Amino acid sequence: MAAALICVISVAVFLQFFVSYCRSVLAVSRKVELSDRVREVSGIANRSVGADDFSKLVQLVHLCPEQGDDETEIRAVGTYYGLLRVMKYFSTFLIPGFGPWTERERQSCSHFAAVALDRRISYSRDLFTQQVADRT
Amino acid sequence: MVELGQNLHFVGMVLTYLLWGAILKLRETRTRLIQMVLALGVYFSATACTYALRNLFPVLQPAVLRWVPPIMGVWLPIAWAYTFAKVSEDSRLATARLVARAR
Repeated sequence: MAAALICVISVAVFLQFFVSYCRSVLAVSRKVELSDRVREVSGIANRSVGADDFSKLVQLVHLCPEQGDDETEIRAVGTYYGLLRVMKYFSTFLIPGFGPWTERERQSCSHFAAVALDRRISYSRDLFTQQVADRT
Repeated sequence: MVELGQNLHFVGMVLTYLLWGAILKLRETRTRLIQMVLALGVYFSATACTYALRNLFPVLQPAVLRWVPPIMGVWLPIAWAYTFAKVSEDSRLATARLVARAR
């Protein structure tokens, strides 16, 4: 009985902490302006990052060499994005007012992925420059 | 041993929840502190849940649940390292935005 109670409370608290953590990570990345380079690479040169761009941006992120310190956060935000997709699906039937909020959150997830891509592109360029300098 | 782990992590989770409540009440805005406390909360709640599930369903232990505590053990230092590496000391964040409900 005690174990079941602890399990239920832990799941509820975990969801609350996890969502707040992801939102704090997204809030930090929202302040970062995207460079023209990442806009060009991801095909969003003439528009803002869309809610559905997340998967494409994460695929591009995984094509770049890893920096080694942001993989866990990308996975955490990916899980949050999946959770939002499920919520969006159910909100269309149950709570229609939830739709615009999930759309904004998904857009923030895409922006986070674009910022991660920007960082990795910069890192790749630095690596390339360093290699060229080492050869000469 | 499983019950002890379950109870200790549950206490850790409750204390972290109280700390999070105090942060919200005091309107603390340091992003680093907020992210560290939230990562700690994720760690304690996930581990407490895993131990409780182990207690309830011992059959799940060999296949699934045995991997969760080590994964969460890695999660905490990585999340804290990310916070120190990517979030500047001066960065500020309104906690009210993190718990804002959908309008």
